[in-house]
Amino acid sequence: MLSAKNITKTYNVKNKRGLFKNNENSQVKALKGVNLEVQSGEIVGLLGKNGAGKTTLIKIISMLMEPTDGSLTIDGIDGLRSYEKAKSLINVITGGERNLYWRLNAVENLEYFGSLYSIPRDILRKRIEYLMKIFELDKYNDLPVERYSKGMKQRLQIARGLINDPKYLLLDEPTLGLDVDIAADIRNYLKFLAESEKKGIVLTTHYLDEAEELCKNVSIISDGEILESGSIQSLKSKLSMTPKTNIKMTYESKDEFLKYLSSMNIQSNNLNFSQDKKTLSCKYDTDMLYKTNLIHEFIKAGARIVDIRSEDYSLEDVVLELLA
Amino acid sequence: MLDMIIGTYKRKRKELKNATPLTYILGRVIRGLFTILVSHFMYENVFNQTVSDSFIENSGSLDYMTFVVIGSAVHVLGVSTMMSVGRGLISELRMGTLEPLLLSPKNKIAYFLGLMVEQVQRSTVEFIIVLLFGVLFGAKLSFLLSIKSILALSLIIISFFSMSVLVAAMMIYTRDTYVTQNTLFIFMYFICGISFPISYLPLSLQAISSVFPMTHSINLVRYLASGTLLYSNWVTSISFIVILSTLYFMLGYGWYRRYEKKILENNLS
Repeated sequence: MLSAKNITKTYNVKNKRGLFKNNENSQVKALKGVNLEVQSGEIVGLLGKNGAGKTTLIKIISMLMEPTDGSLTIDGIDGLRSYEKAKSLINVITGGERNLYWRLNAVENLEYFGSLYSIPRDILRKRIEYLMKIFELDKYNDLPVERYSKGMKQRLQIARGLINDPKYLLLDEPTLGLDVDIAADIRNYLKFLAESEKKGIVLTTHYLDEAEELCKNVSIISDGEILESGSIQSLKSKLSMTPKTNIKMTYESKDEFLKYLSSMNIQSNNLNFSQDKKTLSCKYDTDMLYKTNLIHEFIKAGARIVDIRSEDYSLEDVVLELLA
Repeated sequence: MLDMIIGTYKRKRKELKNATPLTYILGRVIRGLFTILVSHFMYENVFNQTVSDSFIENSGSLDYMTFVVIGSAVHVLGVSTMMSVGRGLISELRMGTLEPLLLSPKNKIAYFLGLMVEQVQRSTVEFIIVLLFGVLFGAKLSFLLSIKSILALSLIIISFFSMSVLVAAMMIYTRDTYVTQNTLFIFMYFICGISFPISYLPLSLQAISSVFPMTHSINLVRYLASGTLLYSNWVTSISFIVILSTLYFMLGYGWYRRYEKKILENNLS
């Protein structure tokens, strides 16, 4: 298990005031006691606005940066003290086109990145062959990376992140700026890595649909603090917004229908009647709908229920409400 | 460690092969050649092939062209090694490839060594070109074809490597290449006795020049060339080279290690 506990990070920022004036130093708290846990085979989403602290947290978990306070253990190894041991268990994949040598081809890139880890030569060769195949890059090995498309570069980035066969992968916006179909491919690779190869994955993304599709658990971070953590379902259940139900009905006579509702003191101002098809639709708080037995009253008023559908809140609703 | 040295060497070699390496060496070779040409024209036409007694005394009785060619060639060797290894980390930062390197659990000395091994190949070519050109203008360099000279040059390359680790730490810390390469290397060109004996400099500058391994490296090669290699001179030069190299390496690598986990902070803070 990868476990980061009570991670705090404070940056010292120099505000330059001019050549002959003293610099002003100020401190920025980028992370304020953040906790994060990832199990093997699990994808954990880290969601938040730009500047919320996602990338700083990824850099600390990947031991590229030291926290001001807190602890980090990766499969029982102290990531802050024995980080050279712990580093072989993780790798980081970022979105965009950096982190690759553009003048080299894919195999040359992977050979170099493999040499940064203690991997026996024959194992490294087999691993490169495997990665080139599963990421469908083997057909393009004559091309230098500078001639790759965005999607190919991103696939190579993921292959690079897997070169040391890490147990935990940290992905920072891996589908940023990619076409829809390529982003879908990347998501499929990630599912495969978690499900089949049992990699523990931390995913930061701005695309909430992506998090909803991939992550079992998510943490929502804002201003250096985790606002909420848990499964997407549990976060949705904490929404203060009242669940709504949409109803679609047909009716015989609008006047008789409204007359009955009026006699029962039922408000009709949120009923949307369509002119020609004799159908109407409306939206009610789900709780209220069932407590007042409103559907039964509609039927009594002469309506036939065509469709009842409760509105499912998306992760976006959760994030928007928490960040509001 | 060996994997990383070989890996870095191969990667750099392939990158340069795909990016017309001639442009990388041409500038430094031309600079070395121009130093020789300017010195030749001044020696032939301004000084009429005469040098002062003080020059003869301070140069170990070397003729002027041999003196300048040795200075120029060692300067080319030093600057190219320091430039390549020194710029290594900051180039990775600018290309966006520093992160995967920092993620590696391996000791980064292997990375610097890989860059050095690759650079030594190119530096040697540059060094030889400058020497051959020097021979055309009358420099007497046959002394270089000896085991003693090869050992001395190997030590000199190691000293340049050590200084380049400090240069690398300095460049990544200041996020600047221009001040270091344009100011430091030009300052070294003036102060390390490339085209005139350092005894012509004011005492304060002479003291500063003695902290650069390049000064002692050039002296060592000139002692070898003069054939009047006194034991005391030889020991002094080698001692300075070894002590300064150790100091620069420890200082540079220590600085890098302390700063390693802060390198990426500047991008985020």
